[in-house]
Parts: sequence; structure tokens; C-alpha cells
Amino acid sequence: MKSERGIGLLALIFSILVIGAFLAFSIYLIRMDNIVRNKFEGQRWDIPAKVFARPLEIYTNAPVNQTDFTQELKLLGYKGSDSYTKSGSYVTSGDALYVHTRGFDFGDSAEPEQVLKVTFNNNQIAEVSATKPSSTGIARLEPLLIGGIYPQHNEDRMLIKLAKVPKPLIEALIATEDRNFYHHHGVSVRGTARALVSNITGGKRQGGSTLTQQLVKNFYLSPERTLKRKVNEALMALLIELHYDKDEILEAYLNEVNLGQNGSYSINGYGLASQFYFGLPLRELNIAQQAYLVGLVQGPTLFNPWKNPEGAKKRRDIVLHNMLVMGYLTQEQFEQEVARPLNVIAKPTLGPARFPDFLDIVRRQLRTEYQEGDLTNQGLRIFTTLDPIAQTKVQEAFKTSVSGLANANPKRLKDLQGAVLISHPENGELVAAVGSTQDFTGFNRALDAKRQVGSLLKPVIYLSAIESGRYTWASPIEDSALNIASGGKSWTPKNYSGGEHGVVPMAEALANSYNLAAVRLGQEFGVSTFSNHLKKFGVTSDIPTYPSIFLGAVDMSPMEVMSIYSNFATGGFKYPIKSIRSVVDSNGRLLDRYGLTVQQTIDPSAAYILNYGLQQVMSSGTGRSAYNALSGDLKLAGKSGTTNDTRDSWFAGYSGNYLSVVWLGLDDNKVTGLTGSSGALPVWTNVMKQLRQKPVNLRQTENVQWHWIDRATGHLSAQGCEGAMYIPILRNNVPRQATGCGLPYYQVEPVYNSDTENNQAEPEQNDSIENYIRESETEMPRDSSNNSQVISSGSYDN
Amino acid sequence: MYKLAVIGLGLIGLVGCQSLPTPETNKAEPTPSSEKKEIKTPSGVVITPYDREEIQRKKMQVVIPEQRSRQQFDDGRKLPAFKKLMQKSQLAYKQGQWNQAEAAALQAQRLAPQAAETYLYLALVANKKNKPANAEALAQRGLSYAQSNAMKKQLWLAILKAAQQQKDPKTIQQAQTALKGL
Repeated sequence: MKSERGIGLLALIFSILVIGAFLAFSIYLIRMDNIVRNKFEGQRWDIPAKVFARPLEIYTNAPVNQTDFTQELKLLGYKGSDSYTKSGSYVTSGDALYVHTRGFDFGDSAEPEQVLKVTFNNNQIAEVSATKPSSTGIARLEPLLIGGIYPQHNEDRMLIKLAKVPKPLIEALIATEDRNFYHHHGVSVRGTARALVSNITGGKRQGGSTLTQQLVKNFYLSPERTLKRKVNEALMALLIELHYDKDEILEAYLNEVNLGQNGSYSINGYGLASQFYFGLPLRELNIAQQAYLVGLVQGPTLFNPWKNPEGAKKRRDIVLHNMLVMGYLTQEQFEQEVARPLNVIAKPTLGPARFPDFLDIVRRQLRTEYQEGDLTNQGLRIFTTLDPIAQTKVQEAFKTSVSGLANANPKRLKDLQGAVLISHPENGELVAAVGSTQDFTGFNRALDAKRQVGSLLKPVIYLSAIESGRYTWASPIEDSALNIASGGKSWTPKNYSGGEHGVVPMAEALANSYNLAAVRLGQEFGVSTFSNHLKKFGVTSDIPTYPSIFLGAVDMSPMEVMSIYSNFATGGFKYPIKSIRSVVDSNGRLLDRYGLTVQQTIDPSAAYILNYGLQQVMSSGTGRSAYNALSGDLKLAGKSGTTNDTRDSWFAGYSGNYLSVVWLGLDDNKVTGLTGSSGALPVWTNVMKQLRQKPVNLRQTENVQWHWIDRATGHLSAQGCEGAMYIPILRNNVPRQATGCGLPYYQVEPVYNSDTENNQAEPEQNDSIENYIRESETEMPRDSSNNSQVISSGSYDN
Repeated sequence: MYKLAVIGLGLIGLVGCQSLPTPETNKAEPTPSSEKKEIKTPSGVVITPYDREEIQRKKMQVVIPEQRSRQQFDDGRKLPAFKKLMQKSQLAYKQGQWNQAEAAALQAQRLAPQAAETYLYLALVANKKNKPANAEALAQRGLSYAQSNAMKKQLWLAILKAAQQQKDPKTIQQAQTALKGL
């Protein structure tokens, strides 16, 4: 009886234990199911924001020559070929290029895959024919990927859809990693048993995992090798197979798998791996290349093509052989593919290696506007203003020029550093940026190097003079010693070359960067006027209030200098410098479009006149050597800057379509021996020479007139007269007197008519000089050899 | 008394000059009568024309620097793509699609940065998007490139609207005055 009761109790306990275990297992399973489903159906991966260059726009009369166009194609990984049947290929035929584009989804618009025929003539695109219609007549190439904003755990991937994955890649994967993939339910009993036996008997270690198990291992679990983890892996694999179909699992696997390492971040998924190893989108890989990527699953480090090319090729050939065995390849195809070299690119171009200084500027701007998490895991796409062709040329020219300077004086300049920024002044778009003469280390001198700017700020003084209406570029100003008391101290500015230049026309003082004349003039308008101008022009650094600021004793970054000069380059309008055009989320929704913002900061008439002074710097002043390499037709404008003992060498200047700022110096702020003209200017010139320039063409307002002015008296003069300067002046400042030499060109028309009714003044006319002095300039042709004119003389008396 | 009469005649002569259209080519002006020996101008300058016999007509090689009259700008007139973009912008604007209108005008501005037309549409969109300060600045920028009165009028209208939105009486008055003159 007792034993019966005992058995019953044991049975009860056993039943309770079984039920308990079952319940516990069920709860565990439910929890696991939740984990599986939450992750699979939620945001599966942290996708770093991807940053793109501007897309090249192709349209009739676009200012793009065949060389640059071909270079852009090469940067994008297009292959020159004898046919254009495949996307990513192009054919050159004389002056024409046939390009099979890849198409691209910009989020707010999509560019279709198509064949373009682009004909070139006179250094520009003469004609464009396309296989797909365009409402604007503009076709765009896909923008170059220049980098990403990476998350903490340094993972990167480029998501792909299963439908876009080439069939041979899937076949290679199935043949090599899981031949029974389409038939098992997540776990391969035979594979697991074989692996167990092999591991127990001490044979070669075998994985035995299905693709589903591999996905689970990478996706949900830690890499430890314990029994518990193995059980969890099997359970989760079964659950995944229960909920999702094979295609969904395969797509997740293709995007999840780790296929390499690029510096500090891992390359995940076949989409990114294809770009990383071959510089091509997945669909453009041949079978051998696809097989290589599949082979990497077993050990990306082991089969690194740059470190172990032989091993990598052997592994690829094994994958190709698997495909042959499984009947995915014919013997002929196999032999053809096996014969191919690996064909990986010479150096990975993804990630931080490509245009890091520009990317840094973009990243900093983004971080002021977006949360870090959004940038590193939401799969945002950032479309920037970077011109990769210009950037490539500029950084090469910059480094060559700087190393040329350094080699000329290696003892002093072996560590010469510098920065260059290029923008389009007419919309503020940053085109290129270089912040170092070496590889990017995180210190971006284009933004971070705040150094004294020297004479770069002098134009601001002369602007005040022009705005006052009391000065023209011909006005005599004094370049003579002075002493200024400020804050209980005395300051005695000096000219760079020492000495004084006496009374000189204002234009000459700026062109030759005379310090004493500038300080004298600056004093007339005051430090506060000067610093107010700087703030208005976009300077954000603290601006000291002592007079030496007139000579640039203030620390600024190249970016701030660019802000200032953009006001001059546009004729008085400030366009904030921008490096981003738009931000699109992972679903293609436009989050931000960076529109055009503008602000008038200088009266356009004064800005036009100031521009003349800056042009004089280039034609006859400290910037004149630029014209040894650049065309005089460009009517360049700019200004050099040199700081105390030549510690900093600056040049800022512009053409009609590019504004460029160059800084050179040493990080330890030691003397370089380089002035703005001997250091930064040759670099500036070389950089500008790389770009397709347009002439400066500011709007001449109705309030500005060009006149020959006598520099000694400020009176009207004429061409050929001694001391005459042809300058733009404000209409209200046109002198009413003329020199004896100039007078013949200003005819007097005192036509007397007693009929006063016919001599009524027009209401709109004022009493300006035009009413009684007729300017011969407007009425005489350039070459009047066939015309006759009245030669007269006369005199003016006050 | 005689002197006063001469000055008076001279001034009348000057007023007469004001109403004369600007001559197309250089021409010999009538020699002033001997009575007008001196001409006093309102600024106090006294002009003494040379009226003696040695005044003669002869050919002379003179190169006079060109006074700019009408500038050519990078305004997209040679770019069919620019025109299509502007048509697209106009159409989108008429349909109330501000973002599309802005996108097309921005793209057009990159192609032809000195076209007043792009600034007009960007200003119109900015007004619609309730960004009157930028609208006013954009239209001002457009004015700096506008060549025709029709374009100037449209831009001033955009400025007027922006000023009304900002309740800026000074700019309203400035815009109204400018519009009256066009």
C-alpha cells in the first residue's frame, strides 16, 4: 500500500515536473519567439547614413568636357568597353560617348537606367540623346558615394533586395553553404550530426549550420561556442522558418553576413562587399567575382584578397567547383570563370579614405541638425554639394604645390600644412575642401585652424571708405608712419617692406597692401564699423576691439575667410556656405532640402566698386603673378594675407564661378618665410587653374559709372592723360571739374535757344553732370579713325 | 548788368541742353556766340568755351574705353534645360506644389546663377512658405540681374508682398514707389 502511494506520489511529482518543464519550455519558447519576431520584423540593422557627392548633370551645352566626363565615369566604376549592353559600361566613339547608366533613386525623384549618347564639342556637351524621356532635358549619373556616418559598433552595410541579387550568387551560396536550404526547416539533422561526430572524434572542425542557423548566429546570438547557444540557435532557426518564407530568410542573410573589415568597421552584406572589393554594384559582377564573395563567408580575414591573394583565389575556385558539381555551371563556364584573375580593386575606396575633409564638414553640419542615432542607424542618404572631379584635381594640385614649396626649403617647411576651400559664390555651395597636406587625422584645418589673417581684412576698410562717398579708388591717401594709443598702450604699425610710400591713390594702397595707409583709413571709420562689417559678413569668431585688427590681428578659420569673401564675390550678397543639398530617409522621403538663402550685406554699388580694387590687386598688385597661369579675361579679384614674421600665408580670391581660400602655415605657428604672395598665391593659382573658370561679371548698378579720373586732383581726366585712372565711381561722386588734358573729351553743349518752351528740363533728370557736360566716352566709338570730331579747348574756373 | 544777362542766357542754354536727346554720334555743336564768353554752372564752375578760329575739324585717332551699357549675364538663355526647368517650376507653382517649384528653380539656379527668373520663383515660393525675409532678399537679388521692366515689376511685387507679411512700412513704400516708376 505504502509502495503504491509512493509510486503515485512519484508519478505526481514526475507529472508536475514534466508539466512544469513543459510550461517553462513553452514560456522560454514564447520569449524566444518574441525576440525572433521583434528583430526580424522591426528595424533589423543600424544602417549608417550614406553621404553622396553631387550627381553629374548631363544636358545640352553643359560645361563638361569629354575628359572630365570620362573621369567621372571611372570614379563611379564604369567600364570602358566595346559595347554598352550592360549597365555600368560605356563606349567611346570619337567625340561621342555611349553610356549605359545604372539609374538611381534620389528619394524625391528617380533617375532611370538608360543608354545615353553624349556628344562633345568645344569643351562642352554639344548634344544628349537618351533612351528614356526626360521632362527637363537633364540626365543625371548616380552620385558618387563618398562615405558614411558610422555607428559606435562600426558596422556598415548597403541593403539589397533579393530580386536585385544575381542568380549565380545565390546558386554559389546554396552550393557552398547549404545545399539543402530550400528543403530543411531551419536545422539540418544530417549536417549537425556530421559536425558533432567530427568534433567528438577530433576530426576537422565542421560548422554544419544551415544558412538559417548562420543568420540566427549573426543576427541574434553572441559568437561564443556553448551548448546552450547551439540549442538556442537551433530553436530560433526553427522559429524563423516557421514564421518566414525562404526568400525572406535568404534576403536577411545576404544583408547580414560579415564579409570583411575596412579599418575600424566591418563590411556586412553582399551589397557593400561588392563595392568594397570590386568598386561595382552587385549586379555588375561576373560569376567569378560573385563566387569570391560567397567564399568569403568562411573567413573574410583568411581570404583577404590583398593579404592572401592565392588563398583567396583557391577559395573562389572551390566555390566555382561547388557550382559545377551542383550543375549550376557547365564545364565550359567553369573553366572560363576559373581562368579569371580575382580582379579586386587596388585599394578599397569606401569609407573614411575618400575625401575625408569634405566629409568631416558634412558630418559637423549634420550633427548640429540631427541626433547622432538618426545619423548612424536610420539609413539616411545625404546628398552633398561636393564635385568629385574638382575635389580630386584640387587636392592633387594642392598637395603638389605645397610639397613644391616645402622642397624648396625643407629645413623650415618640411611640415608645412595648409587648407583650401572652393565654393560657388553664387549659391554658397562648397565644391571641394582639403584640410591637410597629409592623410586626414581628424584635425580639419579648413575649419579648425584659426590663425591670424593679416591683410585679408583690408578690403573691409576700403569698403567703408567707398560707402562713405568721400573716397574713390583714385583718392590720394597717405601711407606714412603713425602711432596709435589704445588701451594705455601705443601701437606703431609698419609696412611689410618697411618705410613709407607717401601719398598714393587708394587703389594702389590696396593693390600693394600698404599697411600704414590702411590703418590710417581704418582709423577714420573706426574699429566698431570694421567689426560690424565682419559680423555682417558671417564672422563668428570673437573680434577684438584694438586697432591692430585693421591689419588682421584676429584668428579666423579658412571657412570664416570664405564667408567674408563670398560677400565680395557676389557683389554684396551673403549666401551661407553649405555642403548639403538634401537629406532623404531610408524610405526615400525627403527630410530636408537646403534651399537658397541670401541676404544683402553691402550696397551693390559699393560692392561693385570694391570689386575693382580687388581686381587691381590681381592685375597690378600682390596677386599679379596669378596671371602668369590664368587668363587675364577672367578679371580675377582677390587679396593676399601675411601675418607677423610670415607665420601664416593666405590668399583669398574669386573668378565668376569659383571662390577659393588658401591658408599655409605650420601647426606649431613657427615662421614659414612665406608671404601671401610667395606661398598661398601660387597654390591658389594652381588650384584655380584646375577648374573651369568664368570671368568675374558683377552687375554694374545704375548708380555706378566708369570715368577717367586724375589721381592727383580727383578731377575728370581722359585716357592718355598723365595720372589718369579709369575707375568705377558712384554716380553722385562724379567730379564736376576736369583737368586741362581731360577737358577736350567733355564737350560743352551750351546750345542757346531763346524758345524756352523747347528747353524744358525732363522731370526725371537731375542736375547731375550729364546735363551740361556730355561724356565723350559714351558717344565715341572705340576706334574713331574714320570719324571726325570737334577738337576744342577751354578752361574751368572755380 | 551785362554780365548778369550773359549768365542768365548761359543758364537758359544749359536748361535747353537737358531736353535734348543724347546724340547718337559725335557732332559738331554750334559755336557759342561771342556773347556767351563765360558760363556759370549751378555748382559754381565757370565754363569758358573756346570760340576762336583755330577750331577746326580733323580726324583723330582716339580710343575711348567702353562705358558699359547692357551687361550680358549667365542667365541660361543658351540652355534649353534651363528653360524647361523654369517651365517646370512655373507649372508647379501654379499648381500650388511649392516644394517642386522650389526644387526646379534651385536646379535652374545652379545652371544659370545670374538669371533673375529663378530668383523670382524662389522668392514667390518663399512668400508662400511664409519666409518673407528670405523672399525679400531673394527678390532683391533677382533685381540685381533683372533687365526688363516686366521682370523688375514681378520682383518688386514679390518684395511688396514680403514686406506686407513682415509689416515693414519702409519697404512697402519703397516697393510701391518702384512699381509706380515701372
